[in-house]
Amino acid sequence: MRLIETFRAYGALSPEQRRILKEKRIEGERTPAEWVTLLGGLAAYDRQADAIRTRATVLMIVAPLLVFFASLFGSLALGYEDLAFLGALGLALLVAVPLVAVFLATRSADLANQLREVAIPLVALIGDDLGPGGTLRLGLDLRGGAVAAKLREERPPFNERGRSIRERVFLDPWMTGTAALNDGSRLRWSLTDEVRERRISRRNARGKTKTKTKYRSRSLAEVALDLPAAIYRLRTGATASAAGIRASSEGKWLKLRGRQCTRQKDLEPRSAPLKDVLRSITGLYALAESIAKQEPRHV
Amino acid sequence: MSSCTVRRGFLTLRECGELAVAVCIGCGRPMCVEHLVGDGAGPLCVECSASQSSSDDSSADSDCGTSDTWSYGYREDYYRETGYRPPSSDGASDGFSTGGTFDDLDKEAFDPALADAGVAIEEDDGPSLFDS
Repeated sequence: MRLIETFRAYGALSPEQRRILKEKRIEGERTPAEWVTLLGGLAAYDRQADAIRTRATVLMIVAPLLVFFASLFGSLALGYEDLAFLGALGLALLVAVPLVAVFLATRSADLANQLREVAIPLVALIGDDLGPGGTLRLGLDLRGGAVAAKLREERPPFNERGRSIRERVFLDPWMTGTAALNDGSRLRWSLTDEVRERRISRRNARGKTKTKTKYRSRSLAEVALDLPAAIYRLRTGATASAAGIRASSEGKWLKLRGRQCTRQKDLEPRSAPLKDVLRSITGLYALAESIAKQEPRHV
Repeated sequence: MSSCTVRRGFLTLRECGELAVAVCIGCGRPMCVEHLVGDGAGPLCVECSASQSSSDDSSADSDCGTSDTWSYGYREDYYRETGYRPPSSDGASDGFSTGGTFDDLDKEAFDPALADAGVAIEEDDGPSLFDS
């Protein structure tokens, strides 16, 4: 059933969405509703594909083995000793091939999970701060953090406590955005992940080498917020010198700049959660106070 | 008919102001078509509807932020958890009067020394399902 739902989700994609699924990158300017519609369809497909790939990963190991042994013992019990092994092997392959095909197909079209976990919710939330007909300019790179194209550094292998360690560092600037907000402010943000991959090999007492891969990620959210000086001023007592934040008044703008770094620890490369990204934006807003009650400026 | 008084926005709040078509049975406020949520018991505004359903980061993934009420529920949760008080153009809340929404964790997170530092060397080398 899950496979059918995945096919349906893919069938529901527009030609533009299929192109994005292939390229995994998109840049443009649209209204928030248009972005949510465009990206929401991709996210719906990606969620289905992730689920079926997880299932296929388990099945493509377990199912062929079960089929192989069941066929082998079944054939032997029925007296087909000459063909038992080849027959069992053939049946196991017959089961394995479609599962491997599903796994490979969904993996090649996999989009980074931050589309669902961060990008779309962020567009939906900030989109409501735009005036009627307002647009968001977005740039998204959804290829994931640890892909060859984003390799920044490959460190020489080294030994530590009897283990051989190979390290690679990837830099993933995966989202940028620009918006003119309803209160006349200008907001820009940029989200970048740095992923360190460690392949740790160790030889055990029996001489067998075991390797495992670990990831550590850190995410940097850089935010620029220009507030109209006619409406906002730096809050009394605000520590504009707070680490990572700069504030300056330039003409008709109160300019606030912030950068927030958070760390993630997971089996896979992982971005900062939505809440951390939002905190880096609302943290800047919280440094300002409104001079007077103002009417929203519809832009 | 009066205008819709549902509060729009996330970073800042303002009244919707569109022409109201119904009154919310939850809070009694007038609301427009966009902010009306159909309900068996009667018309509800998106804010009341959101407060009746849970919202957190996991629902952000399941809804992908595409449902009508998700952003309103998430907004209230976010304000409650972080203490963020948005500036409001309708005078309902002048967000910065109390000030001090940063806590020690925020200051630590904004520390450029952390941003410039290398990735922490903190390893968990225990056996894992994904080891080969």
